[in-house]
Amino acid sequence: MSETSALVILIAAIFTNNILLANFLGMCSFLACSRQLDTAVGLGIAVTFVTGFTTALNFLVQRVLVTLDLEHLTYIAFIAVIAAFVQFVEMLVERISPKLYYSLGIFLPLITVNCAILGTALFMVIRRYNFVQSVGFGFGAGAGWALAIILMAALRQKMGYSNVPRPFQGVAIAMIVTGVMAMVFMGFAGMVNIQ
Amino acid sequence: MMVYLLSVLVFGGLVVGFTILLIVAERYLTNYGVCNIDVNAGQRVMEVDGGQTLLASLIAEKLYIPSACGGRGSCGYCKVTVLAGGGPVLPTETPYLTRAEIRGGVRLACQVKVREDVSIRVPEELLNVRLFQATVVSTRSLTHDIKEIRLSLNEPGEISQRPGQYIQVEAPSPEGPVYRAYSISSPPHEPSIVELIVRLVPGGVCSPYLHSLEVGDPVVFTGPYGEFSLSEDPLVEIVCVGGGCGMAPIKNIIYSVYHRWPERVCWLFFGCRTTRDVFYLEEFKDLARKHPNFHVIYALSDPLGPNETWDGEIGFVHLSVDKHLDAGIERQAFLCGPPPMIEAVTSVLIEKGLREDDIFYDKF
Amino acid sequence: MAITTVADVLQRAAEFEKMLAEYYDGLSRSSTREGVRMLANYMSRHRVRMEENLKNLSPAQLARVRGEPLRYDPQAADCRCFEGVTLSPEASASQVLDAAITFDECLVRLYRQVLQQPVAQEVKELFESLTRAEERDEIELKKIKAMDYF
Repeated sequence: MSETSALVILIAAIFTNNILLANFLGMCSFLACSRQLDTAVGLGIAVTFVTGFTTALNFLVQRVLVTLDLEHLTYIAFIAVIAAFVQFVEMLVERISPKLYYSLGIFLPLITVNCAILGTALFMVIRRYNFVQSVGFGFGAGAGWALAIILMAALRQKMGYSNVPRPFQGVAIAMIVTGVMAMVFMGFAGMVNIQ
Repeated sequence: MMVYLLSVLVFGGLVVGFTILLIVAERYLTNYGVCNIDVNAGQRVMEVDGGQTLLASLIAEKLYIPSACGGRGSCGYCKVTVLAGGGPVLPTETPYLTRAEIRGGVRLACQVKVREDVSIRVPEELLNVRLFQATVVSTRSLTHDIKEIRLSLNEPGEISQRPGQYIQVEAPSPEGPVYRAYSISSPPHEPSIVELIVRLVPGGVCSPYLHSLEVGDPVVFTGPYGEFSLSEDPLVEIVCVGGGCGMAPIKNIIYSVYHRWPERVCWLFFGCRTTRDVFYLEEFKDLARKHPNFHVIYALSDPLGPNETWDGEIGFVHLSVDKHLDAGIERQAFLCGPPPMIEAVTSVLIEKGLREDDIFYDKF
Repeated sequence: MAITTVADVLQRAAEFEKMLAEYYDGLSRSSTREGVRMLANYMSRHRVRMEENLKNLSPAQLARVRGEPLRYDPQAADCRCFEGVTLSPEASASQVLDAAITFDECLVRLYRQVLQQPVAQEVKELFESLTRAEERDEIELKKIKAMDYF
């Protein structure tokens, strides 16, 4: 049982234990939606929102399952919660910003299968967080993912000006850049650590 | 045993709970209530349920905007001017709109969602467009690849069309129904019939479908679209020039003219390549026997084959026009054919003293 | 020649258009068929899409657009027609039209490769309108072919 405060967990989830750069979860939409900065910002916000709230919801669901002694349902219940919530967010985004809705396209419903979100919920169980810690961790993980994709999009836009060798063009250079970014984020590791 | 039952119950309960929540959310989030669509500054005001696309709402209200792709945003035909309430131009529309159109508020109706009261402007004649259910009553091969298809109208039973107008035929395709434009070749005084002249284009979508139709098959189309410009003054001579398979609007014009003005002077020039591309020549010759002021001139552009006889003109059709028409008579001209032919014929007609405003043709 | 800015793409496309216009012009005099001569003459006078589209831009815009760097060299090299066209003087109208449709497709492909890259809004709009113009041309050519007049 960890006694770290929720705020520390939030900070740690963004920087030292970034769900994308430390655990490499959620790579699919990270690589596909990081070409344009505004799309990346939109998707980042949507993922943060979904991760934050589904982690809180999943915490409650998990508690119910534990009391009923049905822990084997954890995965499928988490996925159902995430899927339902993404549907909700989809409606919300369409209502609030049709432009963002169209530029996200298929990736909005695909947040459902963004493994960063399921990963966050599962880490929460493994690390035995309490509710407040879970909420902090959820929002932190989402914000961390958003930070990573926004940085990546900014870098990729700048990369348009550089002369990338032919074999490295496209996703290849994006993967290399992700690796370099991950190493940079390791520099934060001494600051605080959650495990 | 208990654990299975409980698992199913708990998971089922979870899913049902979420479903109910989502349905409630949908009620409040995607329900835009009843929205008003104002067409042409109050000419028509319709109340529709918000949330659908503008194109679907207009079609449901029987205002048929031309669209070739069936609302998938891939043809760019369903342009309407949205004056208020359309929201921002979406990335799915920009490839089909010019900058001037975007500034002028032109949108693709299939991409605009009705979320509030919308005010739009559409061309006047679209307000008369109807959806027709029809049945094939006859099909006839005019040449090796051109068919005449006659449709009898069921619902509504009559069409009010004028020569030169066209309809949009619904044809099935692997990606859902598509719509293609065909000129009406039957005259307006047969209001229960719509006749089409269709050349089979290999690899096309609509023409193979129309060619495959048999008597009794149902056909759905919308129409009529397009402008009408035939002069009502019987002293103005009519010149029709067709090339290739461009005959449908011309046939309509000629039969309409002789229905109303049996004595009116009318010239028909038709150009094609070989004797096997010639069609309707006998029908028009019959008509010319009844109406001495009707002149029919067919021209072949390819050299005659061996053993072929031909008493018409040889060479491209603009040369025949040049040869037969005298200058300085008040005329209206209707052209139907490929752009290079239109260009050539137009320059001949202008030499003959026609004003550019009196020469009409389909812009591709 | 490696392409690095939009100016290079525009130049390549303009050269290609000029070459086509000259080629059609030549064909309109050398062809043994009158229909092909008429058709080629018509097409030689309608190959100015680039000029038409560039006319809409102000000099400052044009300079900005031309200076826009591209990440990738648009490889239109898989289109062999950029190297030159050869049609015999006896070619039929439908062969000429088929060739013309291929040229249009090549240009569309070249423009699309620019559009796939992260470029400024102005560049995007220019290339979208160029693509649109070429696609319209392609449809027109296909319709001319379907009318089977020449």
